[in-house]
Formats: sequence, structure tokens, C-alpha cells
Amino acid sequence: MTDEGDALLVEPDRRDPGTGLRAVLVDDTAEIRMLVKLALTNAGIEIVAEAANGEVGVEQVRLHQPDVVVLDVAMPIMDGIEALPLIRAHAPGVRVVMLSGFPASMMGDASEQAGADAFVEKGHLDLLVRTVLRVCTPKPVDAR
Amino acid sequence: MTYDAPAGSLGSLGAHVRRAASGPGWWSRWLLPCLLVAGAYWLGARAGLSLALVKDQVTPLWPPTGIALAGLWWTRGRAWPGVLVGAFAVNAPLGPTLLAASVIAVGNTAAPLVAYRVLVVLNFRAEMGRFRDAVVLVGGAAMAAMTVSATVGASTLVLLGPADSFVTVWWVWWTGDAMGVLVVAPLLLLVSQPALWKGQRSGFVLEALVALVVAAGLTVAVFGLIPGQPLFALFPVLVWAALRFQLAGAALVACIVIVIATTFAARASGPFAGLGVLDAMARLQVFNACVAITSYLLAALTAERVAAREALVAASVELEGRVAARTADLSSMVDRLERSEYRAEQAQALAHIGSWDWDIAADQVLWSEELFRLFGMEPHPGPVAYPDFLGVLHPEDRDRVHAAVEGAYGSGEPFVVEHRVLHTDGSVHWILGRGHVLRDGHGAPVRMVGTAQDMDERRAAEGVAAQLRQVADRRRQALELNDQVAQGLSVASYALTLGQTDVASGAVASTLTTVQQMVATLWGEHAEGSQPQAGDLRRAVPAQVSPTGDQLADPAATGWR
Repeated sequence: MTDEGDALLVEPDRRDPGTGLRAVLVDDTAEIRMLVKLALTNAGIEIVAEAANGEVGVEQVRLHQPDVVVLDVAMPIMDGIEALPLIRAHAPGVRVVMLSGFPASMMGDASEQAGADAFVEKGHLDLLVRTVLRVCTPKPVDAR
Repeated sequence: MTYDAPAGSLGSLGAHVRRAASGPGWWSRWLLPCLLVAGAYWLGARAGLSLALVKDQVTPLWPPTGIALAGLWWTRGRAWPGVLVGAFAVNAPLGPTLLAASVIAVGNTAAPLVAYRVLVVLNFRAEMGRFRDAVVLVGGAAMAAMTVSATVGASTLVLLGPADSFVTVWWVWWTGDAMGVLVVAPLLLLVSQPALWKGQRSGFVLEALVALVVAAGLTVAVFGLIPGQPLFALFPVLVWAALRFQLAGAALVACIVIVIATTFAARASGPFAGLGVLDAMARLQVFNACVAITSYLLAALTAERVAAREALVAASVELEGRVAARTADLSSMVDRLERSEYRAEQAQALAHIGSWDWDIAADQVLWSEELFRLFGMEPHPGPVAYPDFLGVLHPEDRDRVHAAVEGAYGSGEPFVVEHRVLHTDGSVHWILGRGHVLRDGHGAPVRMVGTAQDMDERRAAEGVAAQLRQVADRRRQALELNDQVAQGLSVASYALTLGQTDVASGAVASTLTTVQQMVATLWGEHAEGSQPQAGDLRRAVPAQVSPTGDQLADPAATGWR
């Protein structure tokens, strides 16, 4: 955890007035959604929609066409791994950050194979915020 | 009464004549045989009269009686008129009167008819293969029946004619007729038995001819040439003929000897020189009777023995045939059994199922090859003792298996028991044993049969399945941990990061409760609901909450503010 990260998250005065990024948050745990939404909002990312399972998440992504999706892996009805290709199909170019209570050693490969841009273990909120910002930053290859 | 039935009853003679005269082919069935018999009778009489001792009418050998008996035998009694005609034709010229000749002819016809009836009634067989045939011919047909003609003839000659000694005439008549039956009848009867002649080797026939010539020459020599007339010297030839050629040879040789002896007696030469008629007659007839009876009895006994031996040989051949057939049956049965056993063994090997068969009475247990393999033993065909079987079992399973077998034996219910066997290499293998008792008709246990099935593969499969279930359980538990614990702690972590301590505290408390419930559940799953025992909770390493133990002592190191 770095100072810069802490400042980004907890100090409203240092809050980025707006990155212009729009995000959809998909997680079955209401508290997680609430806290992640708070953190991302503080970081200047607008949460345009939330969903408690993969199926609703896919629908929200299709409706809102966000820049980024924070997608939990283990969920009822449709899990994150199932939802990911559908999200890609409905929103080409969307960035997807997988979020899971499972360790990266267990779910990281599966997530990336499924087409995720990044995988973040739960419990590291600053890492999640930085990862979301990172995947949304245009890469040199994209800028060319 | 028909012609086919044994005939000869004097009371039905008229019926015979009428039926014979009116039937089809009557001349060939009746007239011709009658004429032939009459002719032969007359010829035989001429030969016999050449040997007459009394009044040119009574001879010591009267061949016509034998001819008459043979004729009656062949025609089943139908030819009796031929006998009557022949006898009358022979006696009429001899006198003394026509009446006397007629009476004598009737007597001479009646005697062979009686003899024929005796033969039929006493079940005589013309091939004379049995001892009783010789006895019946000698005693019944010759000696007994000929008293009829002797009595009628002697009475007639004494009452109506020239003879004055009834006894002498009766005696000569009787012996002459009896000798005619003894000498001529067998010869003629044997001629009609082609089986006696066919199929004989030429050497055998030559030997028979030699025997005849020797017998004739020796008889002439004994009676006429050798001083002291050693009659007993003839018996070896008679015995030879009887033993070698049976009835045919015996009859022929006896006939020749008797004819020659009678010829000497008729000429009062040889041993009969200087004797009175009665004396010579008595000597001759005793001699002739000895010759005939010796020959026939010996021949009949020999024939009987030969027949018995042939029957024995035939029985032995038949027995050998049966044994061979039975052996072939058994052999093919054994073949089939072996093939079926081979297939069963193959099937057992493929299925990893062995079988056993306990013969309770013999107390022997036979094992299939696969059973030996399953029990880690070298297969052998001999029986396996029950203690040896128990010895291969895993010590912990021995009592259980023994109890199952005993229980099945006692109750008659099949048993199923899963147990381990200990191979000599120390490996342990699982077996599923089954068995049941076979009982006889009275319900007594006769055999116990059973199978042993290799359970290693099933056990291994069950092990894999259990591992798979365990993996699935672990995954389920991992998901639960993720859902209940990781999520709760993530909430707490996020809340602390965002300074929301109330939320963090609530999340931690809720998570702790969840964790306690999960631990209790997990413990119950693996300890089957029992409470932890002393020592169960001994830990491998001390409980550690922070990544390093000293972090709590130095709050600055936690990085939390």
C-alpha cells in the first residue's frame, strides 16, 4: 500500500474531480459493492450500474456500454467466468477487471484465458482502484 | 390237426390221410415222402436181413427202424403210411402168413411212431448238441420205444408162426430194432444238419475220413485178425471221433464199428465163434450198446462243452464290445468335460472369479485355478484343506469368514462376505466371497459350493470415487470459505481502508460467527459427529494470525493508520 494510493482513496480533497471513466460493478455481496463503489467514486470513476449476479451484469453492461467492468468471479445464477465472454460480445472494447476472494494463483490464469484484462484478489482495495485506472489508460500500442 | 403240427397220434391217423389227400400239393407233402420212406425201409431191411440170426427174419441190426424214425422226424410223422407199407412189403414174403406179416408190419410202424413221439415230447434236437439229446435218443427212442415192435413181432411169431422161444425172439427183435435206431437214425438225422458240415476246413474233413478208415480197419483187425479179440482196443478210436468230430464223427464211427461187429456175429466168427444164438446175440448187443452209448454220450458232452465255450466267447466278445463302447462314451464325455472346464477356467480368469466345491462327506475342497491365483497360491489339482484356506485370510477377517461359512452350513442360507487375503509377498487383496449349501433329497448337506471375486479393482475404483468426492467436498468448502469468509474479510478490509470502522467491525463479527459454524460442520463431517477427544486438537504449528508473529508488537509495521 502506498501513500499515493491511500491519498487517492481516503482524502476527499485530493479526489480527482473526474476521470470521465464509467464503470459497471458486478458482485453478489452488497457490502462489497457499496465499498468498491465508494472507493472508485473517490477515484473519479462513475459507477453507472451495479449487479448482484452475472446475468444481470451482462444486461447492465449491454445497456450502459461502460469503459470498465469490475466483475466478481463467484456469484449465483451466472458466475464471472461465464459472464465475461457475453460482456465482451455485448460491449466490444470494454475493460474487465476480475475481482475474487480466490487467490490469483487459483483464478488468475482462468480469468485471463477467459479474456479478463486484469485479476485482483479481494482485500486490496487500493490495488483494485489502481488496476482499474491502469487498464483504462491507453497503451502505447493502442495510441499508435 | 394240421400237417405242420407235430403228428403221430394213432387216434388221428384217418384225419391225417383225409386232410393230406385233399390238400394242395399233397403228393409232394405226403405221397412222395411216404414212397421214399417205404423204399428206403425196404432197402434197409434187405441189408439188415443179410445179418439175420433167427428164421431169416430177426436180425441183430435192423436198419429200417432207424430209417423209419428219421423219415417220421423229417415229415413230422406224416410218412407213417410209408413205414407201414415198407414194413408190410418186407414181412409179407417172410411169412409165416399174411396176417402175421400184417400184424408185424403194424408193430414195426407203431414202434418208430412211438419213438418219434418220445423225441418230440422230450424236446429232442436233431443236431444233438446237448447231453440230454443223447440220453433221450438212447433211452427213450431206442430202448423204450422198441419194446413195442419186439413184443408185437415176437408174440406174432410165437402164436402164429414157427418160433417157439418168445424170450429169444423178443430179445433179438428188441436189440435189432434198438440198434437200428441207435446206429442209423443219428446218421440220417445228422445228414439233415448242414450246419455240421458247412464251413469245416479241408484238413478237418480229411482227419474225419482218416478216423473212419482207421475205425473200420481196426474193427476188422480186432474181430478177425488179432488173437484174443481185444475189443477194448476200439474205444480209443471211438473217443477220438467223439471228442474231435462230436456227433457226426461219433455216429459214423459207431455205425461202422457196429455193422462190422454184427457182420462177424452173423457169420459166427471172431469172438462169436462156437456160441449159441442167444449168447452171441447178448454179447454182440452189449458190445454194440457200449459202443453207441459211449460215442453218443461223449459226443454230446463235448458238444455241450464246445457250445458253452462258444457262448462264453460270444459273451466275452459282446462284453468287450460293450466295454469299448462305454469307454468311447466316457472318453468323449471326458473330452467334453475338459473343454467345458477349460472354458470355465478361461471365463473365471477373465472375470477374476474363482470357485470352490466342498465335498462334505469326503471333507475335500477343490479349487479352480483362478481361486488359487486370487489367494496368491500356486494352482494344484488336489484338494485344499479348510485350515489352509483360513490360513491365507487376513488375520482380522478370519473369524468373520469362518462364522459366515458355518452360519451358511447350519442355516442353509447363502452367505456373502467381503474379506481380505494375505498373499505370500505380503500384499493384501480384497475378495468378495459367496457360497451356499447343496442338499440331497432328505435335506442333508452334501456339498457346499461358492465363488470368490477379486474386489481389488472395485476397491480401487471406490477409492478413486472417494477421492473424487473428497475433492468435490474440498471445492465446495473452498467456495463456502470464499463466500462466507473471504467476502466478509474483504468487506472488513475495504471498510477499514475507507475508514468505515462500524462496517468493518460488523463484517468481522459476522464472519467470525460464520467461521465457527463452518468449523463445527467440517469437524462433524470427518469425525462422524463425535466430540473432539484429548489430543485431537493438538496443532502442528502455533496458530498465526499475522503474516509474521511480531507485527502486533510494532503497530507501525502494519501499515494501517
